[in-house]
Amino acid sequence: MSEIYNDENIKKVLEEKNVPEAFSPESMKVMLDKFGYQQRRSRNIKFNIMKIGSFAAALALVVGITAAIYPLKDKCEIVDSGISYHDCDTSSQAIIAEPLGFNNMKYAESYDEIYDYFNLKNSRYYDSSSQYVKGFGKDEMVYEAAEDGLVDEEGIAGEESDMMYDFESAPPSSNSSLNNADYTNTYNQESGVLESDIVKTDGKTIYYTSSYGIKAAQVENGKFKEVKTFAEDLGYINSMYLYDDKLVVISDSKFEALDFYDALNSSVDSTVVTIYSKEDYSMLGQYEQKGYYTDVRLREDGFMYLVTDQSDYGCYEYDGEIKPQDTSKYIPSYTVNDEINSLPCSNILISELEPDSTSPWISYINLSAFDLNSSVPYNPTDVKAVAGNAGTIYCSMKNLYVTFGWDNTEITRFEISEGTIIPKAGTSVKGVVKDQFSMSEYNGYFRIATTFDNFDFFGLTAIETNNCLYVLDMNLDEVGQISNFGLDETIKSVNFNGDMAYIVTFRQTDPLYAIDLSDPANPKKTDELKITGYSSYMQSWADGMLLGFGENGDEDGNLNGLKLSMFDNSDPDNLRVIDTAEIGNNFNHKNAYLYSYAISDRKALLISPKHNIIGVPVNIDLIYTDSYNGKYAYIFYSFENGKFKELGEISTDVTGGTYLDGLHRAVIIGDYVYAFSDKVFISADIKNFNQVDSYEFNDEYIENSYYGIID
Amino acid sequence: MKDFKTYAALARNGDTEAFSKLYSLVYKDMYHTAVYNLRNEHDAYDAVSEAVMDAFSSIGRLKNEEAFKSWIMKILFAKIKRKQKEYMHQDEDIDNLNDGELISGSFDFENFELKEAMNNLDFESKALLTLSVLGGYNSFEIAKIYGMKASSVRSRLMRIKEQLRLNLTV
Repeated sequence: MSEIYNDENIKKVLEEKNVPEAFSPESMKVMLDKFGYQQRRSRNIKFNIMKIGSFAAALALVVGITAAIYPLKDKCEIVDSGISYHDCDTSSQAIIAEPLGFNNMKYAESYDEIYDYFNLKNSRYYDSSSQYVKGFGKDEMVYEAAEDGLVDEEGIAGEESDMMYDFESAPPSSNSSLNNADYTNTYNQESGVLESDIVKTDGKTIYYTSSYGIKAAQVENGKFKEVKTFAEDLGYINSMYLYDDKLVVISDSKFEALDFYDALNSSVDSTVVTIYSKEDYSMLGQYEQKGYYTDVRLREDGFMYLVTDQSDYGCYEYDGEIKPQDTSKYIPSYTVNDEINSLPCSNILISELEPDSTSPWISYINLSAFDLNSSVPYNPTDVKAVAGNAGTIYCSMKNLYVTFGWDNTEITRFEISEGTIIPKAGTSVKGVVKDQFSMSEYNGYFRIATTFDNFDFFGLTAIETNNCLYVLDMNLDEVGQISNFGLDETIKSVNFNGDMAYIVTFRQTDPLYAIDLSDPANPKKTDELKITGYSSYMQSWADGMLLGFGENGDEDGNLNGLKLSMFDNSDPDNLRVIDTAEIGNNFNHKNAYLYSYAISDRKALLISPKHNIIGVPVNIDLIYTDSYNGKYAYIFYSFENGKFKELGEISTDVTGGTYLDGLHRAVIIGDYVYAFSDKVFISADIKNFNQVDSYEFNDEYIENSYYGIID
Repeated sequence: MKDFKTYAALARNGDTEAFSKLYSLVYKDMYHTAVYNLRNEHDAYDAVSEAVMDAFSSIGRLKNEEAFKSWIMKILFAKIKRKQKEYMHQDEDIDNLNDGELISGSFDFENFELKEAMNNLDFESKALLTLSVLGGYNSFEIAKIYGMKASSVRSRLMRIKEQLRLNLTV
């Protein structure tokens, strides 16, 4: 039989299948046109695009979806354990750590325990399953040890006690977010929990970034006075906060690749918090923690919470085995002003259960807390690491919920008091969340809406798609649930408003469901409204009025543009559409492609009921033509007498435009509207939208950094 | 490709048409690699499209076609490893249920046993086999793409081929 074995035959087997249309260069181009530019902006959104995006081809080719059969985790009573900040080294000093009582999680007792938990002893074999390789690996180990004589052996012991913030000397917190000033700000899902953004203003100066460096423009009556660029030395900037006299910037660690091979190995693996003085843009201090940026929240009392995801799947990346003393390779660390600290094992949570995989892996949710009122705001007041992954987060004033999952969503609740992060409960629910707005904490209950697939007997083929809204108590035990709304449809947006939840699902048309949660054990669907297209985001506009933004479509579910909808939800038993507005339909061109950053990034919308203005970023690309002629605009609407009314636009005509040319944000200050891209700032009069001023940038380094140009 | 450098420069400036030209150089290999190394076409699509997006948004100065190929394959394998890691966290039994991808096509008697043996390989072996046979890379190149020692690649490949023969003769 062995004669059939040869490279030629293997190649034949591998290449047997024809490449489906969805993988063709043409299909990928369409995908890139739609999502490519948003990619850097929204790493976290990427998954949503793939899984529940409107890219029909991708869905059409689904042959069999990976089954969702892994068991939901046991839930049991929470045992509150005190947090102790013990140093620990790699020798197993016995520190008694209480089990936390959920998800079988507990604080690690030693670095060795963590080493074992992640199966790092297997890292020397480079192998996951085959038995014979382990025997073989023994020989190889000797060989490699000899070769790796110069392996980096630094193990940094934690010096936690010095770094932890002293609560006794905390200055009284001031409340900087309350203002009656006449300017717009990032919309916060929960009042009191501020959300970061790529544009921030105090009404006098506007800070903007959509990639590298920050542009600060002093504005007065629509004129750009003094414009400065700073923070060029940071990596890609994810988000910012303006708090009192400080500008807090969250960026990726600096990307310094020598060549293209190096580019992936040494790519971003940490998230950096840099705090600048608002006065002179001088750097006050810097903090760095391992992992990709997931999200951040700032309570209005000045306590900030940062979440990153540190994952090394397979650990094959390391050119050599990881030894127990190589703690820098497997213990999360953070850096305060260049001083590196390894996390003490007592701040690291792992599961008591034997991991179900024997291959080496490392995966942490890293969380840190800061007090921005402190004299050393860059010093973390608490740092925790939990074995697992971080996806979408939701934050109330009291709790931070970190979720993760592809088929089931794992939820961990962390209590956040003043600058501490204490894991309190965990569970797993069926389905995936769309975004932070799919979650809400209200009156002691945590509500979460998910979409899931049901599979056939063999777990191979999805036979239906369904949605569920769960009501959980603070132990994350289920109190009630409602399912079977939007059968075979996918949740596109959710708006929680007290005891009510409004949920948009989509497949062909856009049903808006009203669900009454006033009896947590018995959620009830009170009404259902069907219109074409769908809303990807909903926000309360006024009492009894819900504003929706999304894609427009016809009865057959074909999407053909952008749309604003105003719903009347004053009577939960009788939802109705007050008006809809199609956006940009006057730009129709047979080769034109119309899209909006706001579909995947709701912060790009300017929604100000106070000014009665809704601003929508709209991009028009003329594709499949020799030259690119694009238009990047903000189109503004008001809502008067039950009708949307187009007020005007701020736009830039661009040839050969890219992500950097796109207008990503707009704000209102006084009587002027401002819109921003990395290339130009534009201002217009709020009364007639006539352009007042513009300021152009020509920062070559931004483009170079953005496209990864090294020389 | 005649004008690799021109296309690469255009792609760097965000030209999706130019990028799709570059992608056309590798898409068949990317598809076959992803489908063999993952459980189904859906996962393969996720991995390939995510790799394409990452490559598009981070394409730097690349010397030539070969450099582009190994670079994007490296990104693809990062995506594949991520997916495989997810599999490991799921129920082991599903693995066996899903391992029918290659034999689900046209029933070809000649290669049936080979297919079955190939399907029974572990993740890493599958990866090395694809890079070696499909990509035509040598052990040094595989080492760079997959992030492994060249010496290990060589010995692993030897074992894999041995194992395939073994499986076939039993």
